[in-house]
Amino acid sequence: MFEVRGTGKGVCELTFSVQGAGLGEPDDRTLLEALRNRDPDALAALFARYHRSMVRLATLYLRNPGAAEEVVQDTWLAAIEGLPKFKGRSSIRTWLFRILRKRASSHIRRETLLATILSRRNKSIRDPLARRFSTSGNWAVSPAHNSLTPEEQLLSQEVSAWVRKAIASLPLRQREVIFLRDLESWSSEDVCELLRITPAHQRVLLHRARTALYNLYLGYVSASSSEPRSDP
Amino acid sequence: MTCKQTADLVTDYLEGCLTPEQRRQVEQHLATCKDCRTYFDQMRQFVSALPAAKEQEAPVELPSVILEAFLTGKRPLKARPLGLPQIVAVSVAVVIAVLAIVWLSVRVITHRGARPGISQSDNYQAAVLDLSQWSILRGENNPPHPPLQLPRKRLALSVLLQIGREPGAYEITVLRTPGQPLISARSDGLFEDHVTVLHVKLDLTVLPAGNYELGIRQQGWDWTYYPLLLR
Repeated sequence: MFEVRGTGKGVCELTFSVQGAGLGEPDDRTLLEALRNRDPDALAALFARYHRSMVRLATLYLRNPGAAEEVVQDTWLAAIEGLPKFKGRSSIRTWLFRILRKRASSHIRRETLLATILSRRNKSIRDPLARRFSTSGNWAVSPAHNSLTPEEQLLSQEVSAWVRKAIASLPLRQREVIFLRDLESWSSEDVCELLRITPAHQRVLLHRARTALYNLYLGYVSASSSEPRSDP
Repeated sequence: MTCKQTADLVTDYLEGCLTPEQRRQVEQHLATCKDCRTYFDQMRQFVSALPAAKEQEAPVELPSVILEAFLTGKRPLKARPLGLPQIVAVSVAVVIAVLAIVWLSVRVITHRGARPGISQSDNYQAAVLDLSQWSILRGENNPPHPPLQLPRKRLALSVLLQIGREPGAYEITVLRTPGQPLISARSDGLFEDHVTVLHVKLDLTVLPAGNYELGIRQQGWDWTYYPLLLR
């Protein structure tokens, strides 16, 4: 369904919201009822739908695939435990991913990595575009200079792996937003609900993340013509 | 509007979230600036290609530990970093476990000696049914186990239970419809060579040949059924 909303300042919110399920898959309410009745098929359906996406997000937080798997398993167990308390006010997906974020952050805290991660991440450039413009606000180097065909290139496995690494190097919030919006194709509304941020804040994060990633990508592509390649 | 100001609005533009005034300004700039048009195109292409960078892992089967927690409502015990009290507790547990193992092995040896032999005199033929390697396979893609096969005779049957089954009182039954046992027997499962073994006498001559289910359960637990073919 298409939804057009006014947000007071004449800014329009245009979101395309289709909840995770494809055709023929049970909707949230049916699924929730089946889960409450301890129907193993409902759990299997939920698992098939979200598990891999959860592992991908956890990998983004933790980097270590083993730890990510562990946190996701923990998330499932916590979700099962919390099922009687879940009122269905948010979507099941938002609920699951909220638990995942909580688990991941407590895991990171337990490993006392949070402090180091935060201090390291926040040093990234706030405005990655700045260097591409002259002081008068014109392009320093024409974008046409970068004759890229990103669609074909991004399909290659090597570039995909590089993109994931580059995203993992972004500040935490930007990482979450670009991952959910551009890789997992969540609607902006769902991302705002999960992260509890305003649509405007979400767009700022998305913009910074996309611009930073694109700049890193240009650097990667130009470096890749002169091997060896640089890591993000 | 400068190129920098325009480029700063690329995400809001692609998201369709500019005010009408901003949108007019951006479009006016794009109409006259080839560089910014190129940049907007590049960003649009880049963003639309990003989903391809998603890691494509094979589907994972629901782990049994999660399914179990779901069905029983009990959370499995989790390993946590050990403090001093836990270390003391673990050491005590290890000592108790060692004593228990010694006691159990003594008990098993005595049981073995005491186990009544299967006498041939009453026309029961000795047979062994080995379920120790039987795994209950899940999922549609796994081929089902071929049914167990037994001859329609009077059998003194030694049933090697699946690994992990505890010794104790067991019931064994042959049936076609759940809840309607055709033949039943009881046996004390004894621990022999890492496997619990049941010794039962079953008169299978009374049943016609065909497909059945062999049900086995420890008293107080649920039935496990195995497909059975009587020849």
